[in-house]
Amino acid sequence: MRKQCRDFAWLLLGELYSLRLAWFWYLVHMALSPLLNMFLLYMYGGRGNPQATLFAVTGSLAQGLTVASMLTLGQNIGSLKDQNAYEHYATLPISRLTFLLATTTRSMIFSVPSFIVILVTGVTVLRLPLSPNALLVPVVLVAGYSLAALGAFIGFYSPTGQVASLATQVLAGLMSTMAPVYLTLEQLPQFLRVTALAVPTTYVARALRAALTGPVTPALWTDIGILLAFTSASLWLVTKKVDWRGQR
Amino acid sequence: MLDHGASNPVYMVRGVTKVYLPARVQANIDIDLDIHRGEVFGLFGPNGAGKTTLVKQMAGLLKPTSGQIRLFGRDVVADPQSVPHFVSYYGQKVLALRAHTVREVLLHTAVLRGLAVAEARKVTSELIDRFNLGAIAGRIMLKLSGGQQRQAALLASLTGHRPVLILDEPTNELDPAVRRKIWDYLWELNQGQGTTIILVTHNVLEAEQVVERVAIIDSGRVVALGTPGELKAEVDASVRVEVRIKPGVDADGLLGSVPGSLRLREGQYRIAARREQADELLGTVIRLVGLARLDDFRLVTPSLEDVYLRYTAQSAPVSSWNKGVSGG
Repeated sequence: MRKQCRDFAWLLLGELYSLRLAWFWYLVHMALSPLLNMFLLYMYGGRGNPQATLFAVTGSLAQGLTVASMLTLGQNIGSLKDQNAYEHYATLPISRLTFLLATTTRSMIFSVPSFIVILVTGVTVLRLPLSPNALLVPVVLVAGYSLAALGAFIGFYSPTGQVASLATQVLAGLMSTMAPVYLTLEQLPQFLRVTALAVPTTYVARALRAALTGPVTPALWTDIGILLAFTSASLWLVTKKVDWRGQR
Repeated sequence: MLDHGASNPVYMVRGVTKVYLPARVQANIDIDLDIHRGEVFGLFGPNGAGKTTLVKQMAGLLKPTSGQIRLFGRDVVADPQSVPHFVSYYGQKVLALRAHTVREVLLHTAVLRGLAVAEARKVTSELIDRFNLGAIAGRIMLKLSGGQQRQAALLASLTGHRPVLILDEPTNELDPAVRRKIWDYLWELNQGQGTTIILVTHNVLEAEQVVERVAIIDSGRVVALGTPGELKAEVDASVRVEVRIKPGVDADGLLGSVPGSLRLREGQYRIAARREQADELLGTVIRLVGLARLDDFRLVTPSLEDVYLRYTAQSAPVSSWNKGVSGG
């Protein structure tokens, strides 16, 4: 465990060096996209409607935390494979889980500015009344890791970095539209109300709304539990069952 | 540092075949190979011969279509994650750590290979000093030339004190002075620490100075395996004397009629003979021409490159090696 922690710290530090190359564009990518999304939704149906504004804000936060992390991870692994650069990590005595967690944590750290900007904008510009509770931090953490395995799966199984990029973007769209992220569950078509139960972003968005707007409830604990279970199971599957060696 | 002894081989490769799908390209076909503890093993072959595919399977980066690879007795195919504990691998494409500085590339790799941070810093500084990288040690990899990036990545692969090194084209893009330092360092690792080195290259002339055993791969198959001496003897038991005569001397009149002679250009001859005739041939040349009229001469045996060219599909250009050898 001590080795894993040390490896994680050094891998994460190495991941953060990438800020040296394109910190401005990372910031724009992670912050601007969810921010614009939020404004679009607010202008479309949120004005004068506190609930729609809440969904616009929390949906954008969920988008930045989960989907953007998945996109970054999938595209990063795909691109490493493209350059044969993944070999560097594959030939080091580090666990796959540590590698995935370090890469995902980098994405989470990069999404912090976006999280703050959206939250501050929601409160000050959109006049959204928020009263965060103590579980906001664990919700943010578990949300950030929830789709990591999915991103890794796409990254490893895509034949090229370009395919990984396209596949993650398709999946990103599905993750946002197939779950009550920007809309309430009742606003979704009938069949999506059922399938949404299998989509992690459903629980991320719901947990974020609960953690930002009121006291801790059993339902919030349940959502966190579901996300933890999904995240653990999916990471276990990717690290243990997926053959990370090149097959082609 | 070769330790053939009764010890088990470091690597045991049996019947390894690799077929790339969907085109069904056979990159390796039924390869058998043993790599012994402490040897410098050369894997030679033309581009696309299947060398990199083979070592990637040995490093646990590719799964063989069939066959078995054992590393210190462990099944690499079933347990590829055990390989990094014993093997340091350097691949042909190296731009993984683009945002790291040269010093960070070495330091991070050493730490992730399990060295204590203080030890990793020490190893990093030693390598930077030894290879005169002080001037670029603080620069980001992406901002460096291709050769500098490769050098940093190669040195990173030498950290961590692994008992086995697999180096795929390690000196590509490096300048001659750096290449010399790299070969010297590898030789020291082999002699001093008993590191087993598997060297993939098509720079046969350079590698000839360090390899103790060689496999030549062509079209996915091992077409020759042995020590350089054994392979050279298999290719040709002949020697040649290359003679350059001073201007103004009638070289054609002196050497044109010597059996096995081949006129290369004005004043230059190559005379081939069987190995056991070398003494006699040298004597004949000196007697006929005289030392005073000889500008230069040398006795040459087949090189590993001649072996390489002979065993691969590129054999045609060296046919002149044998030209003129009677009964060889």
